[in-house]
Parts: sequence; C-alpha cells; structure tokens
Amino acid sequence: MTDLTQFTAAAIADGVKAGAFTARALAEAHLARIAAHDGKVGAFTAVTTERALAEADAVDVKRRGGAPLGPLAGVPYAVKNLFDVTGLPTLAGSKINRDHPPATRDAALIEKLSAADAVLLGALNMGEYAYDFTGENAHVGPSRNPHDLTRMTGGSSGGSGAAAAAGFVPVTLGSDTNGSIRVPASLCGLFGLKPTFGRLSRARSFPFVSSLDHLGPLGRSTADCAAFYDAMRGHDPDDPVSQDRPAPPLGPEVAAGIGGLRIARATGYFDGMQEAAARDATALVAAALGAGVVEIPQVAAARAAAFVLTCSEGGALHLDRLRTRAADFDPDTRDRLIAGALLPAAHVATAHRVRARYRDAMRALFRDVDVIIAPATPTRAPSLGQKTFDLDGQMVPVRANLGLFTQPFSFIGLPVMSVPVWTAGEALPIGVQIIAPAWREDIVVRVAGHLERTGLVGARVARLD
Amino acid sequence: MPSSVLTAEAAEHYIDAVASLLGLAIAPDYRPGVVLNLQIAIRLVRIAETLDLGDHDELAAVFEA
Repeated sequence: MTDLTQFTAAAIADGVKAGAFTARALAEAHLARIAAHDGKVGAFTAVTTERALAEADAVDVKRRGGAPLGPLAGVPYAVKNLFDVTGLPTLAGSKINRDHPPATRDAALIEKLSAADAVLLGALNMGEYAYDFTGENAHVGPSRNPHDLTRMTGGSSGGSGAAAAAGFVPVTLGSDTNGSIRVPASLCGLFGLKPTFGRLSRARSFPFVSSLDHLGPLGRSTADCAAFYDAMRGHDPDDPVSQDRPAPPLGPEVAAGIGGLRIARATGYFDGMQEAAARDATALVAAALGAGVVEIPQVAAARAAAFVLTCSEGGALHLDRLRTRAADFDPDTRDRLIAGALLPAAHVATAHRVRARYRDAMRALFRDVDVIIAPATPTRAPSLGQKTFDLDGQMVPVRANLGLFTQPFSFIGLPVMSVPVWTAGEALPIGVQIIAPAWREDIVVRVAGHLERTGLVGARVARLD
Repeated sequence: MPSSVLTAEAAEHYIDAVASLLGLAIAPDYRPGVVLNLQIAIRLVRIAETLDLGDHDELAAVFEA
C-alpha cells in the first residue's frame, strides 16, 4: 500500500488533481502519522484535525464538481505557532501568550495557502518568542530531531523542521529573524527558504524583531518551497515592510539550471568557527557548482550589529511583560531580553548604521558575483541539552552560535536557501546556504534545483518506527 | 574609546542605575544571567563599532511617510 506521507507537495497536488487519491485520504494519513509518532518528536503544539478534514473535504467536493483546483490542492502543511490560526491563541512558544484570546482570523500567509487549496494540520513547537537557535522550549519540551531523537532540531522554528523531516507534513512555515528557518533546515535535513526582507507578508504573525523578521517555507524539495512561495507571494498593506514590487513565480526557475551564473564560496569569516562537517559540505557544494571564492567585507561587525539590534528590539517589544510577568519566561530568554532592554540607545543606532553600510558593501560585491555559498550551521545537530560546543578550539555557547553563519545575511534581508547535504556514511545532515542579491529568489531556486538534480543535496523522511 | 570589556562590577552598577528607569525589578536570581548577557551584548557592540562610521552613514530604519 502506498504511504502517502512520503510524497512531496508537488506529487500530492498532482495526485489529487488527477484523482489518484483524495485530499481526505491524504489528511487522514498524515494525521495518523502525527498521532502515532509526535509524542516522541514534539513537533506540534496543536493539531487542527477538524479544520484539516473540513478543508480536505472541501477540496474533494470541488474536484468531484469539476471546479478548478488550487495549485496546492490537498497538500497538508503546518505552521510555527507564532502564526495566527483562527480559534487558537498565538503562543509564539511562550507560556504568557496562553492567556491571549484565540485568534479571530488566520495569518495572511495561511489565508493565501487556503486560497491555493492547501490543508492546515496544526501549529508547531518553537523556541520562546523566537529568541532561540536550539528548538528547545522550556514550557512544552523540545522538538526532537526526527533523524536522531536525542538531538536538537535547531530553532527557533524547531517544530517546523521536525514536522517536515518526520513526514508529518511535506512543507511547514517558519520565521527567520537571524536564521530560524535555515538553522532547523540544516539540522533536520530540509530545504529552507528565507525570502528577501519585505517579500512575504508577516501580517497576523507574532513579531520578534520587526526590523529583521521574515517568514518562509521549509520543505523536502526545492520545488515544494518554490510552490509554497508562489502561493504566498504578493504585496500586503497590512505588513508595514511589505514591498509592492513584481514577484515572478519561482516554479519555472527550479529546472532553469545555473548557466551564466557567477558563483563564489565565502571565505574569511565563513572559513572559521566550524566543525569539519560544515567545511566539507560547503566544499562539496562549491565544487559541484564550480565556485570561485569571495571574501565578504565587514561581516563580523554586521553579525555583531544583528545581535545588538535583536536583543534591544526584542527587549523593547517584551518590556511590559518583563515588568509584570518575568517569572513566566524561559529564564534563558528572559535574561537576554532584560539585558537587551537595558542597552543604551546610542548602541542601537550604531547597529542600524552598520546595517546600512554593510548593505551597501554587499550591493557592491554583487556587481561581480551572482551567488554566494556559505555554511548554514557550524555543526550537525548538537545533543539536546548541550550548552557549549568546540568550534576550532574555542568552547562557545551553542544557543548563540548556531546562527553564526546565518545572521550576516538575514541582517540585510538577502534571499537565502539552506540546502541539505548528507556526507557519506553520516546519519545526520548539515545545510549549506545559497545566497543571492535582494529580490533574486529566482537565482537561489535555480542553484538549489540544480544541486538537487545532481543528487548532492536532498531531503529524507525520517524512519520513526 | 570605552573599555572593550564590561566588567561584572560595572554591569551591576549599570543595571542598578538603569533598571529602575525602565521600571524593571530584576530579581536576585535573574541578575547573574542579566549581567552575563549584558557583557556579551557590550562585547558585540564593540565589534560593531570597529566599522568606521561617518556623519553621513544613516540609520537603516524602516519607515515611510
């Protein structure tokens, strides 16, 4: 019997449209896998069974009636629990938000996916208020890496990484302020697309650092991430940073190849502070692409400025909660947010000025290069509870440093996809970032699609039995 | 230039001065974590400050009238 939970989103939509299986059968198969295995994975904080079956039935009714079906017909997906889902409080990984009333309207991206006939299965675990790279949640427990349940998923979109890697859904949505899509994509062996800042609407999602917050998909193929992006793109005046500019579809770019692209591996900062696994995976990808090398200027200052902006703006956002409900925070999150709230304004202004200067430097660099390749994380998945790791002889905190290589690109909003590499004999994957100039998601997808066709990168559904 | 390192003692003094301004009561068991994170943040501020910014380097704020 065919296991419907092994299919990609593209195969699911094709099968539903062709009548090979029903959307209801798909939803039920994925819900059954969640029921059987999520107790040990910890991906979901809410499974929206009733809604999922109703949405699936609506798709089947449309098909039987001969009505046109959306591009994601019957495709199950789930969202990080900072997206508003009608009828659920938007937790954002916190205990405090449990007291919020249920959302009365879906997040903008969920509305777009509903219009594309996708089927929402639930809300996903995440690090508290998205201030996290581990996927460990102090209130509900960690999301566990489906490829090794003793290891981290990465975060903060930990449940998003776990759910797609576990075969609970083919695609999830996450958020990425400093790396929170790309880190779990790397540790869970997925494709994770962080589009350009201002590209996808953040309306009705819970913020962390408004200056840096992005939303995007994690999936098991380039084409699936592209299909979700295509369904979600478009200007939205309800998000103040949403840009009204052309957003051509990415689907046709997946098979377009890399002809004419000037590709370079980032050196300098990106050669340091990592284990051999990261270096090896990046070298493999660079070799497969015939990449040259490029040294990115000002990158250490940029990463530092991203850190400063994050803790300051995050601290300001949560200041009232820190005044009144400090004991209800995860202590790790709380202490960083308090420190951020205390930072002098002059330092924050400096960080903003560094951002503008670094963006200009990167724009200049992209006159000579079309694509930059860099590691996504410095290591494969650390063990759950692990506090420090050894990076090139330096013992440094895991929580702050899993995003060492992702922060410099989200800081200036560049489009990036993390692609999964499994080196010979390894049970755990690691990601490599593909970075393009602002608004050029098409280039990112061309390179990821090419790498996927070579067989060097690819996702796997974890065995959970 | 200020010192490149914020000592724990200096961090404690700063927290005492500024927390009340922000209306934050920092419980004794939170303080070591806050001190440590403030020290980390200031270390990163110093790295960000290595960029030689001029008077015409503007903020990357997001606002449109």
